[in-house]
Amino acid sequence: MNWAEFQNIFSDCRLYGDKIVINSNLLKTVDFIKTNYHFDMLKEIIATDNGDGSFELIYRLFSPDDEEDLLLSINVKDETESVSSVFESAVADEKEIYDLFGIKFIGNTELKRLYMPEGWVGHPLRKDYQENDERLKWNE
Amino acid sequence: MNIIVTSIDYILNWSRANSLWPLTFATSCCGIEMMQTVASNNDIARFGSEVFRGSPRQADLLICAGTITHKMAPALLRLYEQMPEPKYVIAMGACTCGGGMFAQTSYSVIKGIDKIIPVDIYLPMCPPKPESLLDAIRKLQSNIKKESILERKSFTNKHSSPLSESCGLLTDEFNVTKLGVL
Amino acid sequence: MNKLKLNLGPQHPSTHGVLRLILELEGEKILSCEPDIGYLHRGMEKMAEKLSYIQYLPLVDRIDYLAGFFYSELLCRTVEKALNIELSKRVKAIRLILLELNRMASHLLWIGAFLMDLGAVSPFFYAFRERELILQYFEKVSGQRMMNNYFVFGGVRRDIEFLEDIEEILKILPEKVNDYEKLITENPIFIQRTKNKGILDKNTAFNFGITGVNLRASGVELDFRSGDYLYEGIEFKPVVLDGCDSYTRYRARVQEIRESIKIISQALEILKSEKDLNQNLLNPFTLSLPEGEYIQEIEAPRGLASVYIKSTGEKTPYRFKWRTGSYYSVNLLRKLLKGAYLNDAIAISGSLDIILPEVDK
Repeated sequence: MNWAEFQNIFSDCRLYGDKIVINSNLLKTVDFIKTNYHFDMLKEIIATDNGDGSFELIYRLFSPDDEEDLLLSINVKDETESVSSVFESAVADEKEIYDLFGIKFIGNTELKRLYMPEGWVGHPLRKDYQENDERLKWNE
Repeated sequence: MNIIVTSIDYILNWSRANSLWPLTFATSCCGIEMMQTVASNNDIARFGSEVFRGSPRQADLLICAGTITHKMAPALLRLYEQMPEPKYVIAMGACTCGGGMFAQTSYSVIKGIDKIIPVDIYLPMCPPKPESLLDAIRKLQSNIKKESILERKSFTNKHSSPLSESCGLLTDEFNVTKLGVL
Repeated sequence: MNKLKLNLGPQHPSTHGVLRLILELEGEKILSCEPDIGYLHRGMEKMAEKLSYIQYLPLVDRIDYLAGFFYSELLCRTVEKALNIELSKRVKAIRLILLELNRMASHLLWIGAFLMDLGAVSPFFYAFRERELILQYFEKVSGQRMMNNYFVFGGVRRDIEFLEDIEEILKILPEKVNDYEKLITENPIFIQRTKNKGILDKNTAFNFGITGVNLRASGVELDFRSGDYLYEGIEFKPVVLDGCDSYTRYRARVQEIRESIKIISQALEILKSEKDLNQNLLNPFTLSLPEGEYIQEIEAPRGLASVYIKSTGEKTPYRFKWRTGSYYSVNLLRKLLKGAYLNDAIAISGSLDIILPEVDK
């Protein structure tokens, strides 16, 4: 893709390593990349706990024609836009991230506990997760 | 009197031991080895256990083949309670015996199914070979052949679920009856 | 007509493990399908953050117990690429042979299980008979049937032996695959149950993140093996079929077995000419990745598998993420089962080759 042209439209983005880092307009950017550069597949969304209350989300977009990857990174607090209206596969990824990290995706209507049972306390992949549920003492 | 009892025991145990109908309860890796045991090379039918039942109401052997997690535990308990007496349990694989490789570091794995249901035969290894499963079934058969109807009471006590108030998450919030409700 | 909610699973013989589908029915028609997963969630990603790389390596086989070699290879590859380690030709050929054998074993099991879902029991026995040959070979080489733990960082545990066994497998399998095709491919009942069922067109597949055989059976030539360093110098053709339905997905998997046989016989030639096992084994006790992020991919039997490691230079990774093919296939069921009939539900979900530990991780 043409990086200079892209930076003209989204002025607040920068290149960090092989990632494009943006600060806002997530949905708009993803939609733009999909329609203009034919990145038709979202391989996965990777969430990482930065340890200071913010989370990094990496969107791995893929262009089947050129067999090329594009990494789009954004730092969020605990809420962000959902890209499920652009990519259906994002529904699954966002459900997983909601369960394991507790990040809410506005626009995704299917957010609820996925891997853990209803009533489970905490989000396991957060760095400050503690296994100290009194109700689970029998399993030690 | 004893002669009659032992003759009845003999016939009853012989028929029970040689027609163990397992429940298809394959949760993970060990389930594939269980399928291999049914298939051509090992042929579980030689020991009278080839009739795998999909419904717990028709089964009398629960081969728990694979890791049990907190989310799956109510289902396991419910399936066990739906099985009619007499019922037997084989804990297949290291995960079901004591958590296996996941016991130390995983937050969601049950460390041994004997915390939830009583177990007759423990079969460790990760996963056990089909021959080991056949051996476990043979051992269970020889155990069944030693039972007596006079000790029926102690048998049912032994085979009732040990689930007490201590199993918090399992009994109150993840109530077994809740699982079927959508 | 009254609407009915039907709960399929988590204990159901045809859901290939512990998948639970909540189906909303009107008569026999499925109005909506909601997959409920997590019954086998073992917390693999959190475990990686607590364990060092060598401690985590044996666990990796359990992510996909039908294709454990692929995930072992993926972790080893990520570590090797991060530390710039070159593998010798013989090690590469050994890994390639074992991966492709594993792919065949996985597809064979799928054929057996899928046909059993549709009610045909005998293909199950045939497929498991041939799979047993491959598993017995794995046991000879690595000492374990399924959880092999054979690849290590920088090489393999020990040199490969019993090459004549592989040659025998390669000799037997093509005939047996022909037998399956005679039994299954032209079978009118099988065709009726699978043809034009579970249609997955190209754009939907991209939108849902579907990769692997399921995508190639929709007419897209996208095989991540073609850019893979293990497959350098190996001639092979990705199986691309244009049918988009369950029947085509079956045919694609059968053809992939034949393609794997060709790849293995080429790799055997390399193995015979390269006698020297030049291993660059890493010391696992001091192993740590330099600070940074690493992504590696491999074409697993059930679609693209990839790993993401974020390292801060310590002995344990800071963040470890798996991407597996089945996870997205389960999500696809919401779309494919909508509007289908209940008796097709198992046939469609079976044809996607879903395996639950890969979904739940």
